[in-house]
Amino acid sequence: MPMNAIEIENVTKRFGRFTAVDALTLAVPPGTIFGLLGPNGAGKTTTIRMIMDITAPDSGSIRVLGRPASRESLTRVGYLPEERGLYRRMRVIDHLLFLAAIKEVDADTARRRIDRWLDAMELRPWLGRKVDELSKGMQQKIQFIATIIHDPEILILDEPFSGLDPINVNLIRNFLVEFRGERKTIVFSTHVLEQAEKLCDHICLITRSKKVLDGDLKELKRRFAGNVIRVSTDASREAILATPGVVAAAASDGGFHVTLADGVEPRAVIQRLFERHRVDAFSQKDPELEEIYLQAVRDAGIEETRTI
Amino acid sequence: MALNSRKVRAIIKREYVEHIRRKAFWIFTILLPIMWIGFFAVSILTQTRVSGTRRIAVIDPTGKYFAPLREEIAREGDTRRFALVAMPVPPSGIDALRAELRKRIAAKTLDGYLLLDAASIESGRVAYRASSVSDFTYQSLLERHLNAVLLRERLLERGIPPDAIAKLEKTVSIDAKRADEKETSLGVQFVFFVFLYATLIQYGMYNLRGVIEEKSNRIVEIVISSVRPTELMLGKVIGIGLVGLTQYAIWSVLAMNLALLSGSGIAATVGFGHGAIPTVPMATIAYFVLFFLLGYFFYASIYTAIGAPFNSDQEAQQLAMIPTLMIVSIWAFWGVILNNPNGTLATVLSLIPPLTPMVMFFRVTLAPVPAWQVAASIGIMLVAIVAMSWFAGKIYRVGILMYGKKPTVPEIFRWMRHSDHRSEPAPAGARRNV
Repeated sequence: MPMNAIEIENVTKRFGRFTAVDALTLAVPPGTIFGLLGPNGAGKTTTIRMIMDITAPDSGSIRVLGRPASRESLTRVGYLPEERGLYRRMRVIDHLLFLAAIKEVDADTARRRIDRWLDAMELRPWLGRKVDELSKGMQQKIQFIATIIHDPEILILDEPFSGLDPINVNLIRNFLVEFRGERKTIVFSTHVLEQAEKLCDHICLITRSKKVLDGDLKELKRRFAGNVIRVSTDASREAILATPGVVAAAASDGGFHVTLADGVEPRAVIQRLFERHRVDAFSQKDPELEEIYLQAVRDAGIEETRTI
Repeated sequence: MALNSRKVRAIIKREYVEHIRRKAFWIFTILLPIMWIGFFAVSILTQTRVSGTRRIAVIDPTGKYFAPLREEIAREGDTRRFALVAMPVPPSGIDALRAELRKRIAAKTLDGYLLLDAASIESGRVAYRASSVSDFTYQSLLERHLNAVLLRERLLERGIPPDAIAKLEKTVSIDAKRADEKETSLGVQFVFFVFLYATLIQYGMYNLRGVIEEKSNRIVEIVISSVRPTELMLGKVIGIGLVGLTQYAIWSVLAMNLALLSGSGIAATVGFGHGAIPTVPMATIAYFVLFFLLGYFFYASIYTAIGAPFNSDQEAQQLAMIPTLMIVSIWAFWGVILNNPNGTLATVLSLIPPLTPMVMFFRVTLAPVPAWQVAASIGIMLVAIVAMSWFAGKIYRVGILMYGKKPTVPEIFRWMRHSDHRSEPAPAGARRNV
């Protein structure tokens, strides 16, 4: 069992009377893309700042690559904060060399990597220009290069896609997938669930400072699926309800959404229906992350009126 | 907590290079000395050269003074300054004449008149009415000439022979030097003093703006994920301080070249005579660098702490007045220090941290100051710098990550208490829920 990339143990953080993070425990497995999800103000940024040793937890412990979080253990981490920008009057090359220098990357290595990444991002013509002359999208690409200039093992990205146009979202997403292929660990926060759905292996849902759910996304989908199947059939609603294992049935455009009792195999129910009725089609839909989120919030007994 | 010197060096380098590259740096570097040379040239020109002739009517009922006064003015070479006209008293009386002269002054055909009747001279107060009473240089010259005439007149009345009077009139001038015979020129000390004063504010403000720029550009959290806030603050303060020293080095080179030029006639055309550009003693330069650095680190800490909690120059402006006023307040004591550099007040002021760098520098350039006092002022400043940077560091660590609304002063102090156990304020997103 390989060591977890990041381990957070029972961490609490208060600001005055406001609890920003409440008894949070989570583990980020190595080589995965890990989504930290939740609405604005849920505690994502505070959690990330604690991982980065920018803010200290009031209680609990945080370990990064097996060591307590500190500037030293964080040299193998690349961080893209939520509040991010650049020195506007600096030239692109000087700026990247500076950010590499404070990561203790020697100038030659830094130059080589900057060359490679500026090519990959199609920014080479802008090398000698001032940051001010770059578009917002280009500046964000520069920030991304700055995050990975020291070839970190772990990437921590706070809302990395906010403010990016769709082309650049795609570009960054492809790099993240590439990094996972290199066995790097990527943690990113977002309040947009569709982004996480496409990208994440693992997720952790936070709302109101508390974790409501975490785990492998595929497993979670399996766990939250199965309850509802979609059936197109000539059977009446009553007939469906009479089938053992069915607790609810609702008509919906020519078919039914059939809710099954806990632990009932969808296959068994379909089979019974087949025996007596005509079944044109049936499907077991993977739940959307949004549905999982709402279900988990309900299960946790948290009154959450907002959807993410 | 050990600081990573490699990272601090990277910060210093960035600060230094970016400041030196700015046009504003070069403009200030070139402009300030030009302004000073201009200032001195103008003040020397206005003091020593003729700027117009005053047409003055002299009412001299006794007839004793007009001719000697004109002779005296001619002897002293001031005929270009004063054109005297004798005014005989008409039958209508002195008052009518004065009314008439008043009209002529208003019509600008006359600049003033002088009433030298016997009663006025006896009383010691002679009426001079002119279009301007703030024409001090001319008034005091006129006064000097008039007194010389009166003195000679009185001596003659007492039967002193004219050749004896000439001997009696011989005066001396004081050749002032420091007791240790060190070469000084008040002008030079003053220029250094003003440069120290101006650059303390200038480079203090660079620190304030630098901190705010990093916040408003949203770069600070990226940097903070690689270096500790203390390392960032230290690197910035040192980097900007080196920019200041560079500026002084440039000025020194300029000054040396200017001194060489003083013999070539260029200096003379702007108002300096031969040798009028004084040489600067090495000790003055050494003290200058020392007290600049002591003052700079002290004030840079204050300016940094003031910049950290705010998001724009405008927000910080009000509080930035505090250190600026501390520096400006030196002018309230300037005269006292100048008159008595080793007096009690000057000595006490030179040991109070916000004023120490400026006051002690001024004192050591004016007079020999006891060594223990210089040592004490350095010691006091070092302690003050450590205390101030500790205090500033606390505010800085918390302030630079604060975004959102402008904090109040009590809030800033509350963060400081919190920063004892490193519990910084919530990010902007979280605070919306409080």
